[in-house]
Amino acid sequence: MKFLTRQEEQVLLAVFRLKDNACLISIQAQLNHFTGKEWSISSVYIPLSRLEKRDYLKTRIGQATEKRGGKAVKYYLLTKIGFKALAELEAVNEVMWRGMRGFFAKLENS
Amino acid sequence: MPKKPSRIALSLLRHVLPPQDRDYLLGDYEESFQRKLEEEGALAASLWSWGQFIQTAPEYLWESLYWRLVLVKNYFKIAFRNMFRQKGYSFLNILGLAIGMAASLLILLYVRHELSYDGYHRDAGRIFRIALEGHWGGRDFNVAVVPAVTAKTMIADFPEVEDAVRFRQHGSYIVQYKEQSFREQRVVFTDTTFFQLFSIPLLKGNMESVLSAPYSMALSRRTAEKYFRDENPLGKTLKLDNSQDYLVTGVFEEIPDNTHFHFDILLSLESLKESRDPTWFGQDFVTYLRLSPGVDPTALEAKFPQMLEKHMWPQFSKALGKPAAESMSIKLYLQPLKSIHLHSDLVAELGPNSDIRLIYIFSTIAFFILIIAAINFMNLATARASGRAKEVGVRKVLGLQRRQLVLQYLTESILLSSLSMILAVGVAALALKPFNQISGKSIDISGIFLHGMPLYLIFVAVLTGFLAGSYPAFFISAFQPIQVLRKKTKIGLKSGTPRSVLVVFQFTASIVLIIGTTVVFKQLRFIQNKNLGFDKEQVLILDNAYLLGEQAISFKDTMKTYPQFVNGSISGYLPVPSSRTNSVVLPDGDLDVEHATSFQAWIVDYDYFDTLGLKLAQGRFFSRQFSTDDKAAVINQAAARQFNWSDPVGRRLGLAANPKDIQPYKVIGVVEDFHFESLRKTVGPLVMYLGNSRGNISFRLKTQDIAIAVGLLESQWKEFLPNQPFEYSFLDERFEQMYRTEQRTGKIFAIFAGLAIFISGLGLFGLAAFTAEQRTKEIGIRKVMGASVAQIIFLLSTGFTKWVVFANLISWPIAYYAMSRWLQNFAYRIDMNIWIFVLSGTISLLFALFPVSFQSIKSATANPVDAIRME
Repeated sequence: MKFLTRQEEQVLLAVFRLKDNACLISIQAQLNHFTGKEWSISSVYIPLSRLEKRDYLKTRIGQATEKRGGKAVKYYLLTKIGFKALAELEAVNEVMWRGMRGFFAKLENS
Repeated sequence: MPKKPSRIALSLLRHVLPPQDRDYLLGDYEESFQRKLEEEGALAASLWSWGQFIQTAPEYLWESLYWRLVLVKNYFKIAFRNMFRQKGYSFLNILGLAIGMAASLLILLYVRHELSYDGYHRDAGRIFRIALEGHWGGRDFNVAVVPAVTAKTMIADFPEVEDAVRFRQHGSYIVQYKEQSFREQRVVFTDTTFFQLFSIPLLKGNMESVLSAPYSMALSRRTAEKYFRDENPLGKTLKLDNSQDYLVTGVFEEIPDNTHFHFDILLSLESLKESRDPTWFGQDFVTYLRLSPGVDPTALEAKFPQMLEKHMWPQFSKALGKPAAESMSIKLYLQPLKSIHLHSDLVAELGPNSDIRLIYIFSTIAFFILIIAAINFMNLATARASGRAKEVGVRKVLGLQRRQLVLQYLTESILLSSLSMILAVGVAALALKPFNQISGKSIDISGIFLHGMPLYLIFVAVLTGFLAGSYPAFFISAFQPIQVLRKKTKIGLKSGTPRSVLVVFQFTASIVLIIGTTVVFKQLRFIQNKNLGFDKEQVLILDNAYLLGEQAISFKDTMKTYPQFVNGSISGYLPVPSSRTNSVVLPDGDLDVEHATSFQAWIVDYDYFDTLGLKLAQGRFFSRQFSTDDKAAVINQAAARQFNWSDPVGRRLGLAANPKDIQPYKVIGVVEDFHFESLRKTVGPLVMYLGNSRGNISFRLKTQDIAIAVGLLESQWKEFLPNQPFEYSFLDERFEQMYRTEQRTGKIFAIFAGLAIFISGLGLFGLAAFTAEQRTKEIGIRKVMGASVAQIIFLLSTGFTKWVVFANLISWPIAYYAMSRWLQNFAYRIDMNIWIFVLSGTISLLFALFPVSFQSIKSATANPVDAIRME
């Protein structure tokens, strides 16, 4: 497995959470919400396009609306490889972060 | 109130967005914009749209650049692989290109050095030299010298003239300090303003007072070190020519190489009485003016006739006794300081100048050599294309666009040309020293790395790579994948026509250079062997003879007691650069001023004729048996022609240093014209008379062992003058020095012609190897069918031979035209006969046939089994 950058990881997670409704705007909103920072369109799009190139994501073209200036919307979905990558990531993270919660709690108490 | 994001921002974004997702992203932008518009209002929304653009555009750009760079990295990888896979071709390519580039680089350095002359003076743009153009006595004059009073008059009359400086040369001096003495050649009298006009740093001494007093001097740094070593030179005195002491008042930095004059010792002009001469007779002073900023030199020139009207013409008319302007004309004009080195070739220049035409010729040669080398590159690349056809086919099938293929090939050729350039810089650095020797320059290696030169070199490397690579790139990228993959066509052979055109071009340029070289050398040989009218062999010249003073005759007579010394003559006037005097000459008995002309008048002695081996046409030469010979003159045939004298002997003529002092002479003989000036000019009129001119003693020798003769002369010199420097030269050597420029041109021509033909040959070598390789199977089959080795060599060579013969036909008229223009410079020149052309053609053919037949023989003698079994 190739390592993902932090942005790629977060974007991938957001796509996973949004299920069928993962388009750039909703992903951006979700990321803004969780991280508390303002994500620009390009900072969402670039990780997305890289993940797409690696076949972690597949796409579906949605309807064009007036609100979008008559342009279609592109939805992102996890592929099998994408799922596998997320699962591996979770496992690795779980192992690596194990015990840290208790450590932080102790730090805060002392 | 805008309902849409800024159109400009959108269209800018459109250009940076990745094409495959452009529409979706624009939709996303618009949606976000609309939301902002609803939630936060128009201003925030439009600010947001610009903010997004500024923030995101670089990110997109970098993203796309990143992938392109990855591609370029791949191009480089492929380029290196190709280079190493075909080491032979790559070597030929890089070598040829590097040699071509190194040659061009050297020429470029040379040209830059030539163009830099006198540019370093702070006020170079405002400094002008006054030159004089005139016509009197039936002759035209165009000289770099004017009367002494000109500078003073101009400063007084024209407020535009800020300052002036004058030079007056009086030849060389023996300079003595304590017991050591040297002969100094580069000595000049000049004004105290020298250091103000010319930006030559005064290291020691006072700017205001240096050279202001009579008998004061300034020395160059090295000259000062030579005489005084560690002592402080200021306040010391040096003795000049054993007679006059000069006080050192200044030391200056060496005059830079790129200056049109070179002096080691400056003497104050105040020391010379003639510097204060108020008359306009005689021109001896090289004069420079510095104009006030913003003054138009042509406007100033327009005022010169008025000034001459006021000051000069009245003096002349008074001397002649009638209006002088009727029989003569004199005009002054200004030469920009920076143009003197390349554009001025007047009488009495301070040193030999260069010629702008030479700069043009060399630049053209540099350009052509570079092109010849680039053509090699193109030809080899297209020829090799068949080897890479499959690669191109596969790449195309896999979806590489033509644009990317072109880019890949361009990368390859630029890589090769850059490598060649690096190599070329190294070669040029190594070759600089011999090049300096040949060209007589002192160009510094640092020139390669200064003044934006590296940028320029990178530019040339990329441009060469681009130009040389573009044709093969477009040629190769045009392959149809289906055809090349099916392996039916021999692609490389199809590009034969443009390739042969390029080879013809290469050889045309090379042959023109070869013919040029041959003509230059033949002309030089012609000059050296021409019947000069005097015998330049076996003449030894004693240089400091004037130091002997009255002892000169006894010195000469003592030398003549040795059997090696056949004859000797005391005279400073020799048919090589030496003393020259232009005198006013009046033909015939009435000594009419109106027919006055002016030409060379030489002071000789009784033995001059025999010593130099001159030939008489009529009458006799000076003889001790005739007591009246001190009022006799011998003229040359050119003088007789000028006066229209069919029977000159016995006629009278007047000689005058100035129009007031006319001395009558009787012509006793006519000498056959001999070349006392360069062969570039026709023989001018000349008159000789007896007198004291002790500049040199020339001896005619008759010996095999010159060293013994020189030894004898030196020991005798030491007897006469124990502490004076002994210096000598040979007439033939000094004669050859007159043609040093031509010899240099010839040598440089020869080198570059050699390089051009070598590089062309290198290219043919590669092409021949390629052809032989392509036709391996054909040759194998032919041999099996019974073709002889000779037949196959003939088969392979005819194509190339045809091209070279064709190139000859094109180049001959070009070379003929160019070289007849060059020969116009010489009054006495060779005829260009057909043999020069045939010879050059043969040389070019040999150079073409050698590499071709080398390859042909290799493939013709190979075992046909190996050839046919291939596959």
